Amino acid sequence: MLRPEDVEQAVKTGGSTRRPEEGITPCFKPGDTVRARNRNPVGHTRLARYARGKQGVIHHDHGVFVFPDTSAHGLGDKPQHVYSVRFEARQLWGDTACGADAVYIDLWDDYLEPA
Amino acid sequence: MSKSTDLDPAALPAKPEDGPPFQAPWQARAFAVAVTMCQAGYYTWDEFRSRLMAEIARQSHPGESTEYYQHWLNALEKLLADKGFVGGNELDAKTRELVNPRR
Amino acid sequence: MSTNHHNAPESEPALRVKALELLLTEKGLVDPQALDLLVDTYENKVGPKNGAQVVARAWVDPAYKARLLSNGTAAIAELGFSGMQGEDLVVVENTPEVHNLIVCTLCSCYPWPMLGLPPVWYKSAPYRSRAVSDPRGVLREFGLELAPNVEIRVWDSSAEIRYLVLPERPKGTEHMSEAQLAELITRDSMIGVTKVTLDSKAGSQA
Repeated sequence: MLRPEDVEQAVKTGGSTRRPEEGITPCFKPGDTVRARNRNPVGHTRLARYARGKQGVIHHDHGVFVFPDTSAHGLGDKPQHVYSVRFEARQLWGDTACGADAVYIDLWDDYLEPA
Repeated sequence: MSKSTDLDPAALPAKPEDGPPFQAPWQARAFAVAVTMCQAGYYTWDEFRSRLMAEIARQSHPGESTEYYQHWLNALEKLLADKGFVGGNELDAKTRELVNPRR
Repeated sequence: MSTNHHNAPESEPALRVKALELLLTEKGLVDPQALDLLVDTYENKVGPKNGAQVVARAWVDPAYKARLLSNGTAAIAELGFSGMQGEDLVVVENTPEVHNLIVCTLCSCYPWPMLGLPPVWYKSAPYRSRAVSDPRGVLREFGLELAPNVEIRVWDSSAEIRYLVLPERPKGTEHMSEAQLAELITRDSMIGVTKVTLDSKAGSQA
């Protein structure tokens, strides 16, 4: 139970799900062209529906984090790299979208395949 | 699990310039329970967030803040039941007791 | 906060939350005083004034700005900010060529240590879907029209990383102190739905 005297420290500390990177090889690196997998799992996933099957480019590797698809359901942490992936607006929405615009989505390694 | 599209052409809800974070005291309490129990280590934030996302995905029309916290409460109840902390029947019974304490 | 009149029925969620809190207290899982403190923290202590301080510092101190853009979490910690929903913070900079907008399409994730809790509209279904599919339409509703050659980058906070927009510093502020600058920097400009102008006011929100 969280006691009143612990509230301030708990708020200031938070709870990161970042994990050490040693031994966890990223499948991709910035600049790689990738496709978000077109999976429609029965369970929970953080793979945004609007990105499924779409092509993007790895913008940045954020490092290694716990994989909530498994960890949030008692199926293990499966730590892996999370990337910021850039999707052109026209790739996502078609030609009515503004050609300059893009959406950056944070995606786990398991959500991506090479394009 | 899902509706066929995420696209929602409705205009944004009316935006007060600066509103309080909670529109009713129960929202603040539901928020605080979810957060403090996570901080005490009873579950991870990912476990709560997963259920919150699922509740929101079930929604089929634009929501006001009250509805948002209804999702929050539903998610919290589900999580606490899944973890064995508070069963659904137990909570129903306690709620009825508050409505009619002389039963 | 609404008062509960003796003879007005409490709403169903209010009763349910009350019942939940009673059960959890009986079971030793929550302490109502801790709950009170937590509510007080997010109602009164944590809010956009924090983010405004960070932005103002970045505007006056180029070395700080560089650190902020390179490692947001570490840079905000220099000013004493940290914690829940800000454990991994990335700050994205607006320029004349690039305008950034933050959303969480899946729920409502938001950089609490910088901005406090999100406003109603940020959590709404229309914002969550239109921020990614029609950002220019959303900005228009907030009174902001951007030229077609300005690149809009929408950041969907689908994982643990939380984003904060570093708005452009408006012209005409060269004489202002850091504290005066902070008063101009609004919550909405740090989400990315507006810009900071000389008429902006950070407002009464904590």
